[in-house]
Amino acid sequence: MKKTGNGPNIGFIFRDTPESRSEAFFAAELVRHFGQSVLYVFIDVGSDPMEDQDLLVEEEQGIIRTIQQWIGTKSYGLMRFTILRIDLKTYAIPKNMLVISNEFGNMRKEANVLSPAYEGTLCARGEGEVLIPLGTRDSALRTVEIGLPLIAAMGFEKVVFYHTTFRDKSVMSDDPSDHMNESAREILESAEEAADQLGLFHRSIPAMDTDVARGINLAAQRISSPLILMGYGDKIWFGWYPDALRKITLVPVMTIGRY
Amino acid sequence: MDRMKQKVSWFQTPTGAMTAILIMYLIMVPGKMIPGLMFHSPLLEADAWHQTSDILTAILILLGVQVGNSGKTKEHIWGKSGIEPFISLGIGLSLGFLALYEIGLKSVFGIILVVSPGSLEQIKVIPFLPIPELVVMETTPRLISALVMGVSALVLFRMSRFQIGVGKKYARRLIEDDGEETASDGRLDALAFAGILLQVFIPSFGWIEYLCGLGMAWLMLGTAKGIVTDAWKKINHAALDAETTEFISGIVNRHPGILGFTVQSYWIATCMVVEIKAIRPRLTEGLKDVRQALTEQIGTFLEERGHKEYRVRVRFEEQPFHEDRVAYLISERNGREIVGGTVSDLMRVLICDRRDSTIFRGREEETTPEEIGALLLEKRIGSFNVFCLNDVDLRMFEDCLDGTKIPVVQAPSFRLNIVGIRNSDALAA
Repeated sequence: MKKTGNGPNIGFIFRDTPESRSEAFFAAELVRHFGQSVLYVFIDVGSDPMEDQDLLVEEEQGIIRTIQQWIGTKSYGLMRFTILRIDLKTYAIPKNMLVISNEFGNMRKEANVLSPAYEGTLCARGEGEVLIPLGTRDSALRTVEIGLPLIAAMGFEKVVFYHTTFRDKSVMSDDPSDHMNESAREILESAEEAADQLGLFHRSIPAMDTDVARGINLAAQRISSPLILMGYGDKIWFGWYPDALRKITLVPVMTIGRY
Repeated sequence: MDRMKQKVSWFQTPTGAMTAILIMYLIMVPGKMIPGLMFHSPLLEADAWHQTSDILTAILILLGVQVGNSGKTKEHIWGKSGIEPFISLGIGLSLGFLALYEIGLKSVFGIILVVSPGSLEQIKVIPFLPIPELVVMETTPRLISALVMGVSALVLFRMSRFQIGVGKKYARRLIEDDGEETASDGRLDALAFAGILLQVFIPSFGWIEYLCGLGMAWLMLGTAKGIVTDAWKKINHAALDAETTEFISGIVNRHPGILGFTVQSYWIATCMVVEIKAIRPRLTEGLKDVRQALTEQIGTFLEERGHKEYRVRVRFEEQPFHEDRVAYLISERNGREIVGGTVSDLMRVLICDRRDSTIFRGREEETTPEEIGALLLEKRIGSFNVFCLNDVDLRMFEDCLDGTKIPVVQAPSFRLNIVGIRNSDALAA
C-alpha cells in the first residue's frame, strides 16, 4: 500500500468498550497512512444533549486522554482530535467522511463506513487484492464512482471485480461468465474502465452462488483479500447484502452509502 | 469382473506376507540348527540363533500391523498406524546392532585370528565378545553347510522382494523396512555360502569371508541408519522442513480474523498431516469459509511441492474470555443520571460484571463513603470507576478506599451509554 494524502476524513464512534478501542486504533492508523492530522471522534449524545459546560469540557479532556492511551504515544504530538457530539441516528454524515465502525453500517445506510471486523490495521497481513462485488446497477454505480477512487486514494493497486449471477437455464455451459446478462456485462465493463482510469490492476471473477454473502466471503478468503468494497443499492428485498456479509465475514468491509 | 480383478491372495496382504515370513523363519531355524549341531558348524548354529530373533521381530510386526489396521476412530482416522514408526525404529536399531556386533566385530576378530591365530587368547575371557571359532571341518559337512546357506540365501532374497513389494503396495513402511532386514540376512547367508565354498576348494582363503563380512556390515549399517532416521523423523512429527512450515505460516497469516496460530506437521502412515491450530474471534458462521480457503491454498502449495498424499486439518480455538468485576459511581446531576460525582454524592454504586471489558450484568448497591471500602472488598471489585471533575475529587475517592488496594479509575465520560452501561442488554432490561 503506497502512501497517499488524498484520503477522506476518518472518524470513529467513541465508547469506553474494547470494540471502540480497536476501531480507534484502526482509524488512527488510517489517518497516519493518509498523512492527515485530524481524527474525528463521534460521541453519541442522542436527542438530549447535556449543557453543563463543566462536564462537557472535562469529558472532552477525558476522552482525548483515553484515546491517546489506546492508540499509543507515537501519535501524541502528531494527531489532533475533533470531537463531534451528535445524534448517531439523525446526523448527516458528510460524503467525504469514512466512519470506522463495525455497528454503524447496520444502523445507517447514508454513510461511508469501514467495518474493520477483527483487524488491527488495514493491510497488516500484507498487500492484496481488494474484492469488489458488483451487484445491481445502482449499488455498482456507487461502488465504482465513489468507492474506486477511495480505494485508489488508500493506496491499493489491485482489485478483483466479483459478480454473482443467476443460472440462465437456456445456457448449457458451467462457466458463470456465460450466464451473465447484458446489464451485468455493461456494469463490469464500466467498472473495468474506471479502474483503468485510476491506474488499478484488475481482474474479474464471475460466480454462481446460491448464498451470495457466503460466496463473497469465500472468494475474499480464497484471494486473502485485505478489504471488501460494496455499495448499498436503492431497493431492498430481503435485507442488504453488505449487512449479511458483515455478519459472517472476518474481512474488513467498506460500504458506500446511499447519498 | 471388477470384483474378480480386485481379489487378492491373502498372502499378498500385509498380515499374510508377515505370516509367510514367520512360517519361513520357523522352518529355517531348525533347518540350520540341526545340521549345525550335527556337524559342529558354528556358522550354521550362529545363524540359527540370529534367525530366532527374526521370529520375534516378525511376531512384533504382525502385532503392529494388526494394531495399525484396527481402531479407526475420530481421533485415529487412519487407524492406530502411528505405532509403526516405533517398530521401524526397533528394526533399524537391531539391524545396526547386528551389523556392528554380530558381523562387523566378528569379522575383525576373524581376520585377526586368521592372520595371527594365538593373538586373541588373552581377550577371550571377556564375555559377550563375538570371537569366531576356527573349526576345521570335513569336506562333506562343509558342502552340506554351504548347500543349506545357499538355499537359505535364495529363499531370503526371494521373500525379501515379496515383502518389500507388499509393503510398497499397501504403503506400510514397517513391512518394507523388515524386507530390507530380510535382504540383509540373505546377503549374509550368501556371503557365508561363498566363504564355505571357498574354504572347500582353497582352504588358505578362509580370511576372505571375514573381509567380505566387513563390507557387508558397512552396507547394513547404511540401511539401518536410513530406517532409524526415517522412523525418528516420523516420531518427532517433522514432516515438513522449516522453510515449508514458514511458507504455510505466511499463507495462514494472510487470512483476516486469525488472531494467532501454530502450524504442526506429522506423518500418519504415508500420509502427511498439516495441522493448523488457530485462535479465532467469537464468530462461528464465517469460519467455514476460512477453513475451506485455507485447506485449498495449503493443498495447492503442497501439491506444487510434490506432496501427493496429504491432509490439511484446520482447528479453531475460541479466544478465551477475560472476566472481571468493576464498580461505577452513579449519581444525579441536573435531574439526569450520570457516571461520577463527588464523595458527597456517594450513595449508590453500580457493580458490573464484565466479559472482555464489556459489561454484561450489573446491580446497584447502596453505600456511604465510610462503608464503600468494605463493600467493594466484599464484592471482590477490581476497580472503582468514576468520572471526576478534578484531581482533588479523585484523591478524596482514593482516601475512601485507602487500605483496600482497589484502584480508582477515571472514567472518560459521564454518559452511561459512552462508558458501556446502557449498551448492555442485561442492564437495559
